[in-house]
Amino acid sequence: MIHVTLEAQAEQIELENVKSVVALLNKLKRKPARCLVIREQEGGDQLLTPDAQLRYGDRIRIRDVSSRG
Amino acid sequence: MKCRRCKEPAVVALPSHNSGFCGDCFFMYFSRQVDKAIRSHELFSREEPVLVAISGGKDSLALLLELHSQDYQVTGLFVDLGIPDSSDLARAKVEAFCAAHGLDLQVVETAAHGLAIPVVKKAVRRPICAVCGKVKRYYFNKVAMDQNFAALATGHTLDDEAGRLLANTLRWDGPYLSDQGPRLEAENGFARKVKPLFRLTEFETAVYCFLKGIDYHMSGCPYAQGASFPVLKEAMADLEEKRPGQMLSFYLSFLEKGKPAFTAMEKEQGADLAPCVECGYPTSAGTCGVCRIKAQVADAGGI
Repeated sequence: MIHVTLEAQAEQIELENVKSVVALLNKLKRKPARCLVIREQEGGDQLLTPDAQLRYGDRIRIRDVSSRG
Repeated sequence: MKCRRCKEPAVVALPSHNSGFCGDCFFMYFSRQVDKAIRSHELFSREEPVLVAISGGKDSLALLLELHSQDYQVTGLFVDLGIPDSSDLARAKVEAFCAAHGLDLQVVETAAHGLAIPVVKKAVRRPICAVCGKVKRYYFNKVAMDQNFAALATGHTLDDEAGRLLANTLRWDGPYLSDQGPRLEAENGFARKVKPLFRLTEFETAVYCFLKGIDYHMSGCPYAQGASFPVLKEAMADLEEKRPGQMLSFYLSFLEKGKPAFTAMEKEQGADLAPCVECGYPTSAGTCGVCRIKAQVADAGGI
């Protein structure tokens, strides 16, 4: 299971059986170039590329990049 | 994915450049794109003072910091529009950011000129986003001209420019197409306007802000819901995803092959500008748009 925070919606969800960033984005219906995928971790949060593998218990933040006026 | 330059693990993938970069190499890439934009269109030099319009969002803050780090003479300008639960939050981010990085900042409060946007919104019947944009551009230009800045820089990205180009093209809007580009010359009371981020996407400025630890204003404007422009930006983003590199190619090809024709046409057919009879701002209508808005606000009892 991974824990996902959608920053724009201030919403938190939990997902099972999502093993990569690209799979996560597909599940969330988001495009890789329209959001940052950020892994929360001690020592500093980390940006993830679409091919990165996710780990059980990962805490991920999705930050949309589109300017909103 | 590995960094294309140093082979360390990449933190950002850029399909349009068929590349991935680690943090350090991404900063090098970002700086080179800004440098290339400035040099290729001679936007400004290091000897010229540049006013940077900042909203508190990622693009303008990234621009201000990057130009400062490249030793350009930059001053930030924040126009406080007086929008509840938005302007004050953005202003706080801007002030904290400029203080943290030792950057010069000026603030103009439109309320001091009778133009707080909530008051304007009640007085005018047009879409408020267009009116608000007009007010912001008025004060950006006024400060740049009054204080003799060589150029007014904005944080428009490739997404903004390509989206705007698509919108202008869908309407075949000659005057706007003639004006679109990374450098608009100073003339007729307008400051030189420049867009040093035109080679970079919103995604790239977001990555830059994340890696630099820039705390920017993320909330949208409460009045901006339903604006049509983001729809066209998203359409361009969809195209870019399917055909990486298309957005930059569309924009650069327009600058090379399309814009000259519209510029020539506008020289022949464009409206003549003269100083506004009220404030001296350049206009083709006797009284400029902002003075007309002020009159509408006054008629509605706002001033």
